[in-house]
Amino acid sequence: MTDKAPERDFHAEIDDAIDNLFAPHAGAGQNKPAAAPPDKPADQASAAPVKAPPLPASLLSADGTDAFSPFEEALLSLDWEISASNIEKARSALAEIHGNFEVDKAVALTEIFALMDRLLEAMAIAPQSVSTSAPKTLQEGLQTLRAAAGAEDISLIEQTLIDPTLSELRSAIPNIPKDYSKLLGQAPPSKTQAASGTDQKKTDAVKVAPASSATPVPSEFAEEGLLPELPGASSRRPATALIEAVNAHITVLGKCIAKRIVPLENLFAKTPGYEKLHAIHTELRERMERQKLNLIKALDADYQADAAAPVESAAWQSAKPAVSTAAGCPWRIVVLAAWGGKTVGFLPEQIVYENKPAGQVRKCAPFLPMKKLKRGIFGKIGFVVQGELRSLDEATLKTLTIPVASPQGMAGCVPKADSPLLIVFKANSGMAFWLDEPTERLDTTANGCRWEPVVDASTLVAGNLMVNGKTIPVLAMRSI
Amino acid sequence: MALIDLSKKEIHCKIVYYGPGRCGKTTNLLTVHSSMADNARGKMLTIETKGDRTLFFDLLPLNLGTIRGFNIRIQLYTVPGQVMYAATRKLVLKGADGLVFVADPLQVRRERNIESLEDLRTNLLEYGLKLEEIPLVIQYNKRDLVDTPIPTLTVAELDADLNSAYKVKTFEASAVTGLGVFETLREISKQTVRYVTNKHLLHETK
Repeated sequence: MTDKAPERDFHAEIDDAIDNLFAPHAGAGQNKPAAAPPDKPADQASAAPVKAPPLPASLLSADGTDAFSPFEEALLSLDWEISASNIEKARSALAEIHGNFEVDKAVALTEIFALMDRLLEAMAIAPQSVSTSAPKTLQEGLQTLRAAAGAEDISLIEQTLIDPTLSELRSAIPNIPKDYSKLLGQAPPSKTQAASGTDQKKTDAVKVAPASSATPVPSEFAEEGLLPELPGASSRRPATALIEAVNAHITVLGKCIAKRIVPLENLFAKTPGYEKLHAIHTELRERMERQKLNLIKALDADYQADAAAPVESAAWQSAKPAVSTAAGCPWRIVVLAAWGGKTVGFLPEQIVYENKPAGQVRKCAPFLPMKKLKRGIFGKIGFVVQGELRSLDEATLKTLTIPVASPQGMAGCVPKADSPLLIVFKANSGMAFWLDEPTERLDTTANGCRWEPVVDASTLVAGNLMVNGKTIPVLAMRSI
Repeated sequence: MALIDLSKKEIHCKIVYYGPGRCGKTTNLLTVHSSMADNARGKMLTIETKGDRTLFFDLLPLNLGTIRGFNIRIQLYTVPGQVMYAATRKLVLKGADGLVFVADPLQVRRERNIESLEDLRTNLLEYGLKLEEIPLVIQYNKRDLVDTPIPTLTVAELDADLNSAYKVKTFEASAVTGLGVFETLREISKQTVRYVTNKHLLHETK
């Protein structure tokens, strides 16, 4: 910059103009009260000192600092940057506060602690979906906790502080899609490494979530988003509602595996060209089964095998290994048949067809079109089937094709000319069996049988009946 | 880059308030806006989230009046301080003619101040500008907290952290009370208008 006379004049003019513009305001605030912005609270308001009530000794350290300081500091860091380390720091500080609270107050404030932790968890999982005011909301939660710690009677601040804080926290927690569970520890490392800067940061944040969880719960719980911070930090036992929810979830998981995954898996297994889809479904089923077992293990004694399950589902519910001890038979009547040279059992309520079909049925085909069961030109399939298929209309029945089961270790065409056909069907999945001989009914109560469920849920064998020293595998559709 | 409209004889200078999240940048602008006369200020545009944080930027045009026939307007911007808005922050910085770095004196934010200044330097470099070449003042905000139990940094510490390399003018301020806000603005406005006119206008009118 040169400093010639015309420029000096020009600069002087600028300075004068600016001085004239701003001079009346310069020094504002020195001698007069705050010219507070009209529309919104001051930015620094949250940092202003808070006159806190005296804290109990359990929340004070030897050097006079209180247990809230680390959390407050962590929040300030979070306010600047939502990062994995900052979130971890905040969560551990929050857990520390919770641990130091008086027991009765800790219980009363459980929801606040849980919501604050969930908000932090949400920041770790999906920072983009969390409002930028989340740190401020957490700050308000902290102030409430501080006030509650010093309060003689917590009910006095319930309406004025606790309820509004709960409301704020609830509204601050974003609705994160279920898909986020895939991000938790299941993302392939290569993709994570290849992520861009921002994505990398998010992924790092995600990674920290399960590790930093203050509650030692199985990862599957966190993965499904079922568990906030469990109430009752001292006992660490899930609440009854939570147990019920997890039990219901296990039931749904079991049904989903049986009704949705396995039929498709079986279908793809038998359909040339669908090997990849079959592999995908197999993997999906295995993962879901692992998750189910983990949930069962986590619930331990609280697991209710048949709490929310239909009565007839005992066979597959009992697939869990922990309870696979022999017991009384779950069914009064079991249909026995010779199939592939062995005696097997079927569940009567699943049998939709049991007869010697007309001659046009190809006995060696891997699939059985239901329309082949029709008798005569004007016959209807609906007339020859029973059970669940009876409720389907004729047009639907005509389109149904049932896979034909092959006895283990026996390939090729097995049935004889007069082999009876038995079809079991349940909830959109079925299986046809060419039997060696007609069936007979077994009254399990009269024969004093024992029942042992089979752990391997990938087979049709639901379990084994032990009658008079003889073991009879019971074949059942998984969809039950 | 200042906008100079020779046909209308208008000069628009862009001053950006930069700094870490929640250091008080928006409060600075709100204080200016609420204190200025209507004829000297324009409409303040604030794009916010539903919370109280500046998500994009605040724009506050101030009219300096006519100097040698040129109508000079100053536009004040702030940037979102949060790290996650790096792209927006960089965008707002584009074409800045002057900078106010608002520092947060809280002890716990010491590193954040340094990181933010470094972030500013890096972003400017991407626009081909050096921090040493552009008008800059540093404001040490929240001085009202000094007398409270909240641990704060001293001016010497802030100077050592932020101004040892640049040696620019610094101002102590408390944006919520208005203290130091206009002193900061006056200084950066002078520097910026001089910078812009030296760079563009004087060459044009010679």
